[in-house]
Amino acid sequence: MNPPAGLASEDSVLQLAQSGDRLAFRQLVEQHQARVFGVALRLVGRRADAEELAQDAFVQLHGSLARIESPAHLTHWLLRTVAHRSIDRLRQQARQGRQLPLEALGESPQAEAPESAHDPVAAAELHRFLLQLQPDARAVMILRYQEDLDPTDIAAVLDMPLPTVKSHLRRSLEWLRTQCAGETHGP
Amino acid sequence: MDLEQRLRASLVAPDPGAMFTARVMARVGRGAARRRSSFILIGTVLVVGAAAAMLTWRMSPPRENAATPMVSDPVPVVEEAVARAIPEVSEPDAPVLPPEPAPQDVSAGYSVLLMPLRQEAQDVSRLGPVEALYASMLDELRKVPGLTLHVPGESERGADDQADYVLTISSLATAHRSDGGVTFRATDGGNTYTVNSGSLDVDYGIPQARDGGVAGATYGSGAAIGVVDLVLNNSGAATGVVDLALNMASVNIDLDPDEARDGGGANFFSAGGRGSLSSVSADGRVISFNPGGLANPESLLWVEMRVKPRQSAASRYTFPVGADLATKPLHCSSPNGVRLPECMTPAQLAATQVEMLRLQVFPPDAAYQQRVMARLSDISLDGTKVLLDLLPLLTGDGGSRLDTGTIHALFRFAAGQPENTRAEVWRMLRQVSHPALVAPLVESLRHDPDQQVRLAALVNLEANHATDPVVRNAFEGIDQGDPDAMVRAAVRWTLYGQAQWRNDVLAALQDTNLPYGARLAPLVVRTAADFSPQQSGQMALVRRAVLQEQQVLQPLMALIRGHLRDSEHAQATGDVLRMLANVDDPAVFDLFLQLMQETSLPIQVSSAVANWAINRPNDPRVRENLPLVAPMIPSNLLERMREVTQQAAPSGN
Repeated sequence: MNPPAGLASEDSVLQLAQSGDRLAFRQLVEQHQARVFGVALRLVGRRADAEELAQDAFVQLHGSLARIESPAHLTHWLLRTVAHRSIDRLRQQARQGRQLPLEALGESPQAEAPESAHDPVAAAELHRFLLQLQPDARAVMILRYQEDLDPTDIAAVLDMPLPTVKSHLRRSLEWLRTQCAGETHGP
Repeated sequence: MDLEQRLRASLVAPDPGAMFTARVMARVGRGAARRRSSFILIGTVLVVGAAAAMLTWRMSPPRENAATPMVSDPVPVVEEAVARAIPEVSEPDAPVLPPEPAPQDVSAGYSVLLMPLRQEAQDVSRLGPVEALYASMLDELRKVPGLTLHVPGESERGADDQADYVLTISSLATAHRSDGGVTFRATDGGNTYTVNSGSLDVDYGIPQARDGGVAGATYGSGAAIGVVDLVLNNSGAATGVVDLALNMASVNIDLDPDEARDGGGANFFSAGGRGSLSSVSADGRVISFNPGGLANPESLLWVEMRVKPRQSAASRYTFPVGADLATKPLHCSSPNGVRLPECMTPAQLAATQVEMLRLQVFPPDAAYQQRVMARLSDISLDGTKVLLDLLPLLTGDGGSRLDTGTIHALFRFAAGQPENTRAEVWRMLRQVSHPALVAPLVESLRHDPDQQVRLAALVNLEANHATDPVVRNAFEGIDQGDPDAMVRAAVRWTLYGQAQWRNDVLAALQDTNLPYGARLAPLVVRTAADFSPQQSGQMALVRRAVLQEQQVLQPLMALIRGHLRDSEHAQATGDVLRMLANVDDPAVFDLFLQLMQETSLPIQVSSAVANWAINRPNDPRVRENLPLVAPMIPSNLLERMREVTQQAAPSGN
């Protein structure tokens, strides 16, 4: 039942999951849950929403397993799905006039990633600024700097033209620099 | 530090928590569990706090009109079609219904006998909260429309003997253990619970083994931060399914007798959180326990509640709840920083439990269903959230608690929702075979403008009503007339099966008069989310077999070669390439190798090529061309690929 380690094993786990093996699917969830949840959390800002969105992505994955052709495709599919679901949620909330709750802005990095929080105050500040970006721009930034995707990958995940991705990156970085320097006007 | 470096340093993917996997598995397990024809244990996990959150709508009257003004959402075309499919609408058109109908609205009432409180706990100084819980149960039960409550000493003579349900609440006698834990035995004598700090074990001793049953199983748990990992040891040589629900979802565990012999008899799953967990044995008995708040289990007071239907020898519903009622409301502590739902008082706990009884034990509740309809009619609510909340009622017991009026309200709700939600309604009802579903499903299959909705309706009809002549007739009409090749292909699989499908695949590939997408449709059929994992998995195997046939493979490759740069159909081409990636054929390999060297492919196509390449890290021809597709491969995967390649190198792979 236990697959061997390595990339080949990821393929095996995927195939097992596709054949209906629940433990294999569980393993897929465990492998990918942090990054899927992470993208959702940074996008929507609220932990409960992020967990719901990430769960939804995996539930959808379960129904779409047959379409997944490789572990790399799986990663791409999950990122794409959770990013689009999160952006849809943000737009829906915007239509309803809902604002991000203060506690969402307070998802402190030290609680989630202590190893990275060498400057937790500055990191929290960055998170707050990111949450003020428009959903598309925020998604681009998160995929770039959290998931370390290249602009080409981001374009594929978000169904966005490559020049738009680059434009979001450039403009968002400029705006963040301004904010970090103490400016107060909006993005 | 540079801004980009700061961003990378601060944006580290957070841990979703150890409960996350369990919750996902619970949700995906829900459908499969209900398809089982034989099972030994059915369970329900209710996170009490979450249940309390759900009660915010269940127990509260629907919003007033003034608070929920009508929103002039665009009405999709499908609404008209659904309206045609629902000739009789029993509920008013107003979006909000009265909060709670009068008791006389309930056509068939029932009676419950609440036995006097049984105080078996030794520590009499802490029994007051249990009495408060009992009093609150009395109050809550009296509020239930259609429920006639009998209390010994208060009811007329003879009424006790006629009650449909007998409800007993007991505080349990406990024994403290040297390790700080506590052990108690349920009043039925069958189960012994041992609760340690952060964990709980239940010796689930089924008194009599049943055919195909589990002779004796042990639940063990080792809790981490707010998480209970349950290990079910199948000590009997039998197969069974444990179906547990978490947070109104469920997960099932297959007890594989072979695995039990080979692997020590353990399957595992994680059930998350603080809350109560219950499972139902084959004889209908329910046990449940509350693994939450176990920091000081010896301080808890354990309460058991049992409901026995008059018509059944078995208790239907029993739960011991570890309630620190003596010192504070339930669920107030927050071990290790875990965020918890709001605290529950004895009154809130009683409300939660009565709500569970209404949902799971008592007869279908007209008042509850009217509130469901009110919620379905409230267009200011998030449609997806509404569906998730309604899931237990919609699909519980195979939808036995759904009536025609609720079904109609559901479809009127769906008609005003976006296509994703409309499709999701059909998916949620896949386990429900209510005859009132046929007409709306057929109407949706025929007239919904969205392909995914029609496919979802098709799957539902196929699963539940395939033998209905009306449905069969609809399928044949769709085969001839649906504008979408994918829907037609799906219906043809349903009508004619695998042998004809193979011919359809070949015929479509060879028919140059068809548009590109239609030529691929039979091949890629049943890849949609509407199909169950089993169906999709079987289809993937069948598809792989067909793609090994040169008679199919050659025209397919010729076809997609002509559309590699066709951005309009890039998604379909990419999907086919991902299917071909599993085909072991030299020509396919050469095609991918050639595509690796193409520089102007649409992104969906080139990413499929990159996916193929990344799964062949040890082939020198692939490695040689890898830099060409590297921009398509997520950096972390490329790095991972290099690692694996390096690991594989010493062994000569």
